[in-house]
Amino acid sequence: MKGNESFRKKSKALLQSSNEVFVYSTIIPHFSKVTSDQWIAEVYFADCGSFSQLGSGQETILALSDLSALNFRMSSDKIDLDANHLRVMARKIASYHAVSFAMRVRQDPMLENLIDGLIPFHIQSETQGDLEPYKYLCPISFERIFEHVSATSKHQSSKSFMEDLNRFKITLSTDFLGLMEGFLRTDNHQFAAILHGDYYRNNVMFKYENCDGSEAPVDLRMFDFQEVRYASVVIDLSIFMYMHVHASLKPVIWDELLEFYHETLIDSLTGLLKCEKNDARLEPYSIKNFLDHFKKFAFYGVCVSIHSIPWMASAEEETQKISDFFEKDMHHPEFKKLLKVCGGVDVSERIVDNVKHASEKGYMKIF
Amino acid sequence: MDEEIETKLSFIKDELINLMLSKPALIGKSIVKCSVELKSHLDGFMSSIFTVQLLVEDRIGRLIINIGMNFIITFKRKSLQAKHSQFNR
Repeated sequence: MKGNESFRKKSKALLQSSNEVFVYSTIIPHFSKVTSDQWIAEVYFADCGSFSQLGSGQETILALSDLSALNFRMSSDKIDLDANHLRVMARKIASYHAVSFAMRVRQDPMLENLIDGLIPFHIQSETQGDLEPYKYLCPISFERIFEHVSATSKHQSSKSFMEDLNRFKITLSTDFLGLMEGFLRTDNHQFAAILHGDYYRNNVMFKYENCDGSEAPVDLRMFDFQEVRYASVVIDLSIFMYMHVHASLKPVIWDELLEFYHETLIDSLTGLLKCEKNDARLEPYSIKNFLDHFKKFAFYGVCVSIHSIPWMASAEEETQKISDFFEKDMHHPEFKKLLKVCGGVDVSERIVDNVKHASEKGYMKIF
Repeated sequence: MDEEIETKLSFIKDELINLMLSKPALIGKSIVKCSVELKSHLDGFMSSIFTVQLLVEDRIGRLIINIGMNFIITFKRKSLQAKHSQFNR
């Protein structure tokens, strides 16, 4: 692992890589016992500990089959994914989430063991400390949004959006980390599952097939489970949807994608539980309950997207500068300046659109 | 090439490949050729990533089959492992 000790501590990298090995060595092998679905590359070695030849430090080592040799590859577009890619992402994550739900419905004690094996990864914590990228960098991206809205009259025309935004400003200045940590709660809803945790384009590779003369994605494999956690499934869903659904596609596909995810989830559950769709045990997972739940947790994905999109959508040179600052000094004033302008107006419009969309859908009524 | 990378390259060739041969898909096979390469373009600040091309030989009776395999190997330093030891050991 690179990065100095201080950086690794701030980013909680040590904790993350430990959890990731647990996913490869224990969680997914257990999931694979109950379904033929495949979510990851074949694992040939996953372990953490001391390896004498590598010195005295603790290492985590993963040896996975090379997906590119199996004709999987990353999507050519980093940000905007088309409907086919989005559906493959929704379908795959639904079948993964369904295993946790099926284990809960069956009251399988192994679910608790798997959850207990994950070291909780908090955003706000007295014992672990606060997650600094969220503490310092998200507010900068939101400042960029406030400034862009103030300078652009067309964004001020919606009274309800401006009300939501002003209300959010108060939360941002008083308890933003508390809001983010609240999205990770699992005690008052039935939609908690073992997640991927950082489910977006950079952490998946697609397999493509020719359909009607053009290439379309038909499957994917996930990797980089460093932010795996047991939390609401909306964390995974809202991240990739707010990262990759372009403004022009949101009116067309947003609701359809949620319904498609839910349908796949229920299909997977009925397969795993060998039951009918009207089985009483599935009632807690009804489409109504799911959409109500999504509304309460979707703003998590907005926050992640406004933090991540400027990095991903900027020119390569800017992205390199951002990465360098992030690793060496995330409090540097030049870093703040860069985060407010990188990618130009296009990026500002894109992140403002995510907040406007969340407002229109009622996802900002939670604060 | 820095010392840490050289150490990891040696570790993969001398130790890790043998550990991987205990995986069910590789049991009974012997190594014909192994090449390891640092993937600098995949190398983020969180990890060191290598690609491995492995040619293994499988003897089925008098028949010898050569199988090419490709792996990605990632190293990440860690300190918290106690909680997982119950599952990993």
